[in-house]
Amino acid sequence: MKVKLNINGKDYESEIEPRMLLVDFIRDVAGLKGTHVGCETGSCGACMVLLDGMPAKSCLMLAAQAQGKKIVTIEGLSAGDKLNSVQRSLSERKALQCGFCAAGFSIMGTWILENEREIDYERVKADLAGVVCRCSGYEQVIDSIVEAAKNERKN
Amino acid sequence: MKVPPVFEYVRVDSLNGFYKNVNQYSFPLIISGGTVAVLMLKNRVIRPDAVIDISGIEDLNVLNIDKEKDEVFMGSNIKLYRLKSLLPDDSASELVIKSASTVGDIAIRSVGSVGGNVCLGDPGNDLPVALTAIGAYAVVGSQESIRRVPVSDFYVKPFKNVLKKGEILLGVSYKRLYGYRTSYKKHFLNFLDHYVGIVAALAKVEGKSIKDLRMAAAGEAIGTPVKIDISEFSSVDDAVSIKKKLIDYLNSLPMHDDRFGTIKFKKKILSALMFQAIDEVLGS
Repeated sequence: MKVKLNINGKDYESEIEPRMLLVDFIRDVAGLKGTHVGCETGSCGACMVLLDGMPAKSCLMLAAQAQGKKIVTIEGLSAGDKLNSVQRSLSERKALQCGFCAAGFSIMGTWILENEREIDYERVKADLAGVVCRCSGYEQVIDSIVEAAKNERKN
Repeated sequence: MKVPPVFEYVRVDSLNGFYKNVNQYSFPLIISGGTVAVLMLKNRVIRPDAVIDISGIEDLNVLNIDKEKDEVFMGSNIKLYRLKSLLPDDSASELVIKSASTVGDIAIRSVGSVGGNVCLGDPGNDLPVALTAIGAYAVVGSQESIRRVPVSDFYVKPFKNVLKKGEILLGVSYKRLYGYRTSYKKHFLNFLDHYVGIVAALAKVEGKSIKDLRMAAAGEAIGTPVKIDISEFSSVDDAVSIKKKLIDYLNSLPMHDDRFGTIKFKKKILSALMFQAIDEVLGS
């Protein structure tokens, strides 16, 4: 079947098998490798993207389901080399080590900044429940997002 | 890498389109959000010849409040994440929101739908327990008619509901309830990624007098949701008697030792959840 997906503002049209997962389309058709394949069960969040502005796990969706929706991957969060505030904060605090979970935390952090009214440690911790990190732990990540929120509000 | 089996993908934008397509396949899988369904496809637990995507049917993406009957209708396509902002202010809706907000994480709730959570029949699913407790109905449509099935009767066994081929869950309806205290409890087994027990309860208490008390339970310990009849108690001072009756009830349920635990463990978890819920709704 032929699908046309809008990823980071750009249309990607391709002939695919209906069983192709969204994460595979993003990585193999669009060539955007920042979205990772982790647990493949929807637990780890390494495949997280924004789908019409809401976080979604692209390993639990068929590519065909995403037709007509706007998809944003971790590559779409930054403007060229200019990282967004969450990515910058994660980087400055050295919150990530191997970086496999970067898509999950960056996407969720961005969503939190744009959608949560009150952003504090507990709120961020609860919202990050669907993202797993197995090297750095979560403290620096949570602090980074809280700090990014404070900086955004100052500006 | 896990890859689903081969199937045809059909996207329908209307109920007529659904009815027209669904009978053309011998084993169609209906998805709206598809989070669990896609996982089951990847694990090849199911091998449908077609996946019918109903997420484009706008008629199923509605929330109606019938003021005359004082009933709420939640369409199957409504995302779980939206329930908090969509549902009206009443006790039944409060319990539905409590249960929906514990489904997975935000990324799952933003894709997962009411219809998927209700239809799947996984003992660990959240909405069915709350819906059973409040006495909700599954509204089932077919090309010929629409029928209402109490959610408590919607499941034949785990992962098997009463929907016949050609039927679709249009949504769920329930009577609004006022002045109740609500409680929603569950116990998660991390290493098995499953819920052993889930309990939903609500009670209307005036002074020390219990006007109404409703409870439902599910989870791997007992399977799909069961409605627990504890309506005969009249005073919050009866909390001890109610708990005794719940123990008797648990002892009457068919349970067995399995990978989720021994019978003793399951009863201990369920009774603890039930007691916590009772204390919370009775304020005892």
